[in-house]
Amino acid sequence: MRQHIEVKTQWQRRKERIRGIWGLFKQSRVGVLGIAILVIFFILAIASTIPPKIDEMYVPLYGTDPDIIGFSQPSLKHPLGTDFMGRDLFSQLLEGAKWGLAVGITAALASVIVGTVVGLVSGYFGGTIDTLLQRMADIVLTLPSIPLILVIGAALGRLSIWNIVILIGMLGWPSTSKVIRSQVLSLRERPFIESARVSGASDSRIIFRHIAPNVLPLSFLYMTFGVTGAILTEAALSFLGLGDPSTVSWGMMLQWCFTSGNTFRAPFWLLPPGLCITFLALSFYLIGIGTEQIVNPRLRER
Amino acid sequence: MELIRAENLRKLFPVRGGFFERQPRYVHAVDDIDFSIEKEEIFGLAGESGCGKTTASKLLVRLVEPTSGEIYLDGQDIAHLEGRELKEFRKNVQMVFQDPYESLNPRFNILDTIAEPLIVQSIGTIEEREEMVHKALETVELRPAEDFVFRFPHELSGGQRQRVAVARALVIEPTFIVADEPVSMLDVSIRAGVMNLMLELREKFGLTFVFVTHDLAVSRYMCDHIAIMYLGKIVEIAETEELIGNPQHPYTKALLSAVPVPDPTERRKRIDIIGGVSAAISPPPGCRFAPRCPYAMDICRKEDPQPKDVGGHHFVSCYLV
Amino acid sequence: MKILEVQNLVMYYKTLKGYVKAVDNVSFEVEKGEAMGLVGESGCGKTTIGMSILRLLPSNAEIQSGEIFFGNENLLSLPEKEMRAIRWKGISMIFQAAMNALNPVHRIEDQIVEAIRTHENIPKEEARQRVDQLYRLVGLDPGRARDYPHEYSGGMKQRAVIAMALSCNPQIIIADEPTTALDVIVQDQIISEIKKLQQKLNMTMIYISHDISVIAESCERIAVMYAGILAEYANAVDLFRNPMHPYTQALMNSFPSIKGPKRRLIPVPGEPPNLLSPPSGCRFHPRCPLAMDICKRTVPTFTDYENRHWAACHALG
Repeated sequence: MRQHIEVKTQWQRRKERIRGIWGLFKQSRVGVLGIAILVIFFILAIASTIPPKIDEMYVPLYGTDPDIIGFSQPSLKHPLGTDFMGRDLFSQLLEGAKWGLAVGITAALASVIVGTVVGLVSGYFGGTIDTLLQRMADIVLTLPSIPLILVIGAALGRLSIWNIVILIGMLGWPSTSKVIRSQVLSLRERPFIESARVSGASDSRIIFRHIAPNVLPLSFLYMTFGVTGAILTEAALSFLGLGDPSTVSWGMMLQWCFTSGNTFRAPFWLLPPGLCITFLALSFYLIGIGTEQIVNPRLRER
Repeated sequence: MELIRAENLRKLFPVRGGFFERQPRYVHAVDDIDFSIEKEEIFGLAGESGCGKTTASKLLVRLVEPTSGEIYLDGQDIAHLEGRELKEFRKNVQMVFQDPYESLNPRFNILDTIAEPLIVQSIGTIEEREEMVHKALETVELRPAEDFVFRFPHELSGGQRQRVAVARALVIEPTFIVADEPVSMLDVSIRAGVMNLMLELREKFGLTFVFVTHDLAVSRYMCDHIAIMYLGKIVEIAETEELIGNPQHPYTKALLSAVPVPDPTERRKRIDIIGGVSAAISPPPGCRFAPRCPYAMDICRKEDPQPKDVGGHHFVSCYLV
Repeated sequence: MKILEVQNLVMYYKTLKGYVKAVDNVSFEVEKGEAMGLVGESGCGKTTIGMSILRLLPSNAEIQSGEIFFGNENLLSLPEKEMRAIRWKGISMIFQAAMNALNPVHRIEDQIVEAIRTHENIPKEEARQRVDQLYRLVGLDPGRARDYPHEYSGGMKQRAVIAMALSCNPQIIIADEPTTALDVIVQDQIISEIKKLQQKLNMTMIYISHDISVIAESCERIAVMYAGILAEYANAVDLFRNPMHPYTQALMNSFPSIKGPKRRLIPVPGEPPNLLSPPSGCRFHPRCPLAMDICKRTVPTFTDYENRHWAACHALG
């Protein structure tokens, strides 16, 4: 009755597991759509390095076409035309992809990391620490984000793109922390945590080695939704004129279009950045939906 | 030779009353119990749900802090250890839990799970630890060990997971292991295997076990001594066959008479008592079992009976003896 | 007189990974007034059979073949409307974790009355009186019928659920692990209550459990299931005195008992099989000490050896 068992190495198991997760993710068609859209934007972002190499006039912020003064319609040289300063709009669009991804992902990462750590500590220790942290979270949640950023921007004089990233991150952590906290509350009573305690594990080890891996899938899920929010927030800020004028983001493009009075005259200027913002934000949201169906049943899995 | 002694062990859990509660109320989970466990014996804590057996077992591993009372391991007081000494103490004791699905971290592979006590207690190098994990897996008969080390809990059956839990308890070479209903959630045909494994471990490694269960048939099979608990108190302790054959306390008698026997020709004589255990919140004075006892007398409701030795270290807490 | 007859029931569950062959060619019959026990480990199919009789299976359950005769009617071929008439009135069920089957926001009496009036067109007052009688029957205080479930203890809830199952005077009651999660003493009281009721009302009982001790004490006929097949079916006394199937024997040897001499338990080697791809031939062969070549190839026939003692094993000849 002895069966020949093929012993798999750890590496083989890891590959199998990744394949398994991907197989599960693939079942969600919206999730795969989200990834497809994201891949397109990644290509666009990488492609943003190409136009400046072709000709200096394609440099997004400074490059102007010597032959054209100001606003022009799409042409062979400029697939989307030029803006009011004679700068090529297509290279601006590509540059915007780079910033959209950078800002979205970094800001979301910041808020999810802070939110997860706060959620872990809050949920595990309970008591006074929990109350304090959760009250702080509540305060941040009730702050109106855009007026606040306006005030800070006024106080600092100007907002760089990284100021904006930090601000979005600092305003976004409470929602993640609450979800992580409730996960931790249920996890900390589980026998495998008691077992760790019986072995002599310290609180920090239990939090970061035992509990954290179990909440990370949820964190990742919240990060995808966080990126959506971050992209939209940055676009809104830039459009309102609170953005960083030295970076070319899609929001800034919209702002320039608006303030130069070309809103209704230049669909090739107005529509592309707007659509890009929508679709990039959407792609992360769809990825989130695809991830959710992996994360949620897994959390309940035996 | 005595290994563990508990004296006047008590654990009260506060009950959060309403805003208008004047006096705080407590659940008397474990209420002033004494017992003594010999080296290399399997000591049973048995009783129905809510009797305090799980809390008592958690007190022994200091998963829960005693409200008052003493616990001695090899003569050393462990009830009041703190900090580094507490961590040192934890090398001596490990626990096996009831639910094989919940007692293993779903994100750890088997190697990480079993190696964890070693890592936490800073024992061995990475290679040495791997070696010890392999040995532990072999001991619990999960062979070949190489096949199991990189698996995850969801890839194993209930019985296999429980064996991993036992391996994790063993790897640090403790003096005693507390097992809280380790076979209750396993399939019937698997239980015998895990139970026999624990008996073998006691033989091979001279381990001492504290075995908590509500199933008296299991208790009889595994344990050398059994302590019957009711509402936080130990009502009777005796050597297993003595307890089963010659129970003295009315609750023990009722409990034993209620256990079904796998024999259709057996006509059990059922001892009827009023059903339903009451909660152990702020219990009234006197014997805890008095409200349900068919033989309750006046004194039973006034004062707590103290354990009496009725011969051969058979202790009963009852005024009837 | 036969009241229930299951013939060659084959039931699979459809899952993402394929078909789980939960019940494979199970046949047995139950006489009127008999207490029959269906015993086996988790996943052996006993609950599935209970649910199949009442056609309360989940959506991914597919009955591949077989008949279940209740009297003269094949339950599996009845239209849903007629099946609904039989549920609760002809055959009723006490579910696993039944105490969780009580709706916490309704009074218990209301729940039982609703169950009655769904199946019988009688006025509310009459239904309430029946609840009164039922309560007395199961040993509950009728004055507490208007309470909410959380005010009852575990044992009381179980009795309430039994009362609900009896409420339409069914001919057959299927009790699926009615005493798990109950303490030993309460469990004993409930089991003796059920036994009393069964004898008093001359009801047919199908008692499903993994606890062979409980089954031994409550049932006259016992069917042993393993991994979706019926291994053995005999009178309780015959089964224990002369277990024929190796699985039954192994099961007997792995149960500790509080009475009798203390003997070393012999575990059954291996694990219960994965029903997505069960072993070929006799499903027990990988773990069977008597396994022969034929066991791997051919499924043994369920045969009556003597005195209604059935078993499916090649080693019995």
